[in-house]
Amino acid sequence: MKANTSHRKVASKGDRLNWTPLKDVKSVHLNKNLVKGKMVTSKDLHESLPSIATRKILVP
Amino acid sequence: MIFDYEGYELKLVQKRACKDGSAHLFSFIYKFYSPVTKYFYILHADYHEGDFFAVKFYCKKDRHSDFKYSKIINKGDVGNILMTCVKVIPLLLNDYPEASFGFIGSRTVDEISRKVESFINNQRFRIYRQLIPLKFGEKTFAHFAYEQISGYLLINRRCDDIKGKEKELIRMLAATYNNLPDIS
Repeated sequence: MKANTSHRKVASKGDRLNWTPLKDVKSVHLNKNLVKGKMVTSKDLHESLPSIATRKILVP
Repeated sequence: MIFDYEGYELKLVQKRACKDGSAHLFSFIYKFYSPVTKYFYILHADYHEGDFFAVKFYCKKDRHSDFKYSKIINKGDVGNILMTCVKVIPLLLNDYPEASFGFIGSRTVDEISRKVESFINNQRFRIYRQLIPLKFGEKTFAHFAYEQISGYLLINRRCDDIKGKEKELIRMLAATYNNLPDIS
């Protein structure tokens, strides 16, 4: 009789998330469009964070 | 999220000069130990022209791997490990009070499927982006996030022209690491 196991083979993370095969990776040269940054403003910083009083900051 | 981990003690191993003619001038190399994962970790703070440090780290056991910055250790203790890495910034500010700092979230390599994640907004970057504002305020640094390359810059506010400094550093980094998002 065949054992009834609940163990199921799970696909690897790279397969599940549809990552790029290592052999297909190409160098991507930095250019102006790629390094378009966003200044993280006070509003961005404070909206999602606990207040200064409750967080242990390393550098003010 | 408060992210209150103490981190571990960083030990300076050596200061190593870089003589490849690039804007990378020297590196401070530190090590620390996680009693949880039972591994040593190596942290590099690479000093560049423009008073800029690029901070990166890897697990010592992977030091000979081409993917040492991209591996997932999967033994836990991420909070303490990351806290130890960010503790290098106040340490370096003592000697380089006008320095700026930067990080890139390395692309994770899945060794089972031999696949690699995107360099855009990758999982390491998403964590750094949450962690850095928790531990660094706005008084010392201006914060810049670069989702397209999973990068983060802390520009020292002692510079007279923050935007100009950011542009200068981007130019320097693009010239020094013109294939930065590559995994090799």
